[in-house]
Amino acid sequence: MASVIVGAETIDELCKNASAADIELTPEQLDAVSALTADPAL
Amino acid sequence: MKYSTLGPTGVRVSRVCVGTATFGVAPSVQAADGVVRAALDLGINFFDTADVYGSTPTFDRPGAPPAAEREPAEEILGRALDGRRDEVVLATKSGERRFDPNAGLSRRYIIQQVEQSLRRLRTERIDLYYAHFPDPTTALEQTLAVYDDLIRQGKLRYVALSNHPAWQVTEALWIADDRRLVSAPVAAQVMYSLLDRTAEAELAAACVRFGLSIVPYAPLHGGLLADLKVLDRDIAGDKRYGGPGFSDTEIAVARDLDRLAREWGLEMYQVSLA
Repeated sequence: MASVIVGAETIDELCKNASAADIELTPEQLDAVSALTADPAL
Repeated sequence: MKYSTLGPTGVRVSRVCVGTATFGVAPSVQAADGVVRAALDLGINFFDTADVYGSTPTFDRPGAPPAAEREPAEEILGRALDGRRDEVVLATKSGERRFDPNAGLSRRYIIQQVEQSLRRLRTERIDLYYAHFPDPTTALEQTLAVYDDLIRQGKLRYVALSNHPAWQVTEALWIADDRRLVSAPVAAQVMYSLLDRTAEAELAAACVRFGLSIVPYAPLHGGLLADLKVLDRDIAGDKRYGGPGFSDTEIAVARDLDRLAREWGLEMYQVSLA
């Protein structure tokens, strides 16, 4: 993945989204997120 | 800001790309300038737009000027980047067929749209040009051939595919290789979020195999994965584009994700974009 497109409507939103790109989740956290969002109904 | 390399190009792009689909609506024309300047100050060098962004009815919402009176997002972005053009990697697209029966990926239409985008964006070249949607009425060979011509003319630097399935990405690479075209796609743009992971099944594997970058859009699923407060808004999610809004399942998953994020001392948008 090169970049993620974020459509900020305000400067505040943009700053938040930009800072989130620096967050690194642990493998355990990634597994938890993956399990939560693997719902076939989605 | 972190950076990565765009596919096989060697071009360095920020991990966050500014989308401009609603430029002229939210942010308003006046506020969009500030958003672009703030992005540049944050180290963001990647901007994404399209010929139809901003001024088509898709983006209508209460309180905003009607589509016919809105400036295209390309014009707003081009003006905001005036004097800073060389600092950024500028991506735009054509081929959205909903509002124009002549639209598509034909030679005639693409040339017309590229010339228009160059004028609107106030630039002599587009760094990354996407085929916005597949066009079942135009052979992919024709589309890649015109992209090849436009790259050789210096009007486009690289091309990419948006909303195309994995098999068409693979076919495009095969055609470019077979015909010795310089227009092999370097990236695939796709809707992707924790609530829509469809791209993981085929497209992601194809892109990894062939060295293309994936550029996801709607990673916060219309704001639902950013903050649950979005549920208090009258217009949110794909309702902004005439869609039905969030499903009960999506809302339930978002609530669980929000709970998980808080347990880790994070906000939901941070987990969604990490």
